[in-house]
Amino acid sequence: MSTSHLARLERLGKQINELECRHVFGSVLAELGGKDERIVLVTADQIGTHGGRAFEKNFPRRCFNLGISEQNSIGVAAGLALSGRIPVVLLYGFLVARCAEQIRDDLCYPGLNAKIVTTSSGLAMGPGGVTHHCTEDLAILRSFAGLTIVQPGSRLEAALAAEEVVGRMEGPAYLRLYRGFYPDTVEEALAAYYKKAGCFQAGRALTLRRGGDVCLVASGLTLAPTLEAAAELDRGGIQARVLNMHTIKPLDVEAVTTAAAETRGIVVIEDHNRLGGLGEAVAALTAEFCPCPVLRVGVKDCFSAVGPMESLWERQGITTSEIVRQAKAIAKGEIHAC
Amino acid sequence: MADKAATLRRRAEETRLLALRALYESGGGHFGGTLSEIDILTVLYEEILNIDPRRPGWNERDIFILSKGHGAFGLSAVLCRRGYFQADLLMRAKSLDAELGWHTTAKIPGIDFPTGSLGHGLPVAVGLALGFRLTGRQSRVFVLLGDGECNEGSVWEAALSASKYGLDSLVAVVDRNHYSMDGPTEEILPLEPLADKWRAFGWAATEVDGHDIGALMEAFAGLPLSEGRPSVVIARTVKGRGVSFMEGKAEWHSRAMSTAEMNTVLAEFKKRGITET
Repeated sequence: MSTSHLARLERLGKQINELECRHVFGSVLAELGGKDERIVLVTADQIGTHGGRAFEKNFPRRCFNLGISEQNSIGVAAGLALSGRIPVVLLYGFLVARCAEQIRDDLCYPGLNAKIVTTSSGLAMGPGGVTHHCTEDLAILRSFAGLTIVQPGSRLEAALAAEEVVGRMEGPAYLRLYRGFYPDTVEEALAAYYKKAGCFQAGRALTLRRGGDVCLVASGLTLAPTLEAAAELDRGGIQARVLNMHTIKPLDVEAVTTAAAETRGIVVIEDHNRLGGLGEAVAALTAEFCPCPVLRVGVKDCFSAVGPMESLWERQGITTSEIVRQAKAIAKGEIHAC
Repeated sequence: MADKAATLRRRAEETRLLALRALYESGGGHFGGTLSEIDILTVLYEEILNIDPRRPGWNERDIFILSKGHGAFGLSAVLCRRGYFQADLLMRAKSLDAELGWHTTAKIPGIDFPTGSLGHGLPVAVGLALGFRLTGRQSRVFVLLGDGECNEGSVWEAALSASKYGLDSLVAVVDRNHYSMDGPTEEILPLEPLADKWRAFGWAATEVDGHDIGALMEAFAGLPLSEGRPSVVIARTVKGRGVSFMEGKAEWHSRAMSTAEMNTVLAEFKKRGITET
């Protein structure tokens, strides 16, 4: 691995130390803003909550707080992009539904270089209640042609993804972040991976664990129970491959089809409605090109409830034990529709 | 100025007929809103906008966004007459991959942003004006809204934003033809007092007869209406203007025109001394 890559990881590690993920993103954005004056920030009264203060402090003229008006914010971002700027729109994830048509018509259809960043993935805002849960955004946005969708699984990966998506990638993109601290186990696993294997590449899944019995595909926060499940399966003699599918779209076709061919089936674990999310993307791909059993762990097409995220996950079966149960069913060929 | 207005009046009439021919050939489309906007667009494109048809992408140009994207045939006919492209582009709207459809596309030379769904143009125009201000570009940004379109909340979100930033390089024109798809705007969702609403949102507003070429020239020549504030010109128009059986008829918002009806159109224009070239 190149010295510069390792030095970059070390520098990022120091930069994000003790920062919640939203502030990790904000810190990277402020740094990118210093390198590229085209980058501007657009938000709908949500600068502070999504970590935009650092950018605002450094570049007040390039920060547009449009008040509580999400449709307008996306349209304004489109105009800024047309004028040659690179707008980054900070939003709560659940608000994607509100301005979906603007994202489709104003950003994706003209193929503008604009980025949407949310910091409240899935059920993360548990006590906020159903209105603040973000469990349909992927279903909506996956169907918009030309939109890249990235969901990092750790703060380091969020920093790397932000550098890639905002700093280098052309075209419209959606970055789906968690607000706080990702579990240490995953943080460490991904840090080790990037140290060994190199740069973040949109559209290229990370193989975090090798195995030929079953494949577990996870993204974002669900990597933690997924890695725990893989370890437990291992103790029971089942070798689970684990893919970190940090890019939901474009899906890593090679990683999925290879897993379909080399294992007995796939379990997809996501913090999203099981309709329309990553699980459905994997199921559709395999059904077309390499049929294999695909089971989905995620929100069961229902509105959740008020409660701590962990409890809501428990209710939806987004747990280590449920992943293990589903993976065993695949490994043993004992799948039953219910 | 009187001579110029007379010239533009004739040009607008010729453009109307060109747009009607294109709509007829396309087998359908939005007649009412196309005919109501053409005088406004003719004045803007012939007299007001800083543009160069030989260089559609010239980076000092003013920008125009047709937020009422269903007026695509009207804008396209104006662009054609202004020299952006040949008339054959207008006549192939029925073909696969046509540049022109019932709503604007960015494939039409001279059109910077595709529109169709309502309530999108003004936010985009605000973003453009903000972006130009950041980089010191002097271009103005014009956007044409339908009056029914002003029912959309996003229009007023954007109006607040433009006011906050004091965007006096931004000009909204409202094609106040008093009809939306289902009927009169004042029955569907009343808008009056429309100019006062814009003023209450911090804009400088004026009202003008949208078919009086001289009055339009005068109104646009006086922009911005107020230093440090965005301007809105509410142009009172007639939906279906220029065709007797379309004027003020909600059913001509969107439909197909028969050959007999096209012949009536040709006869009416001929009586006014306008024939197809």
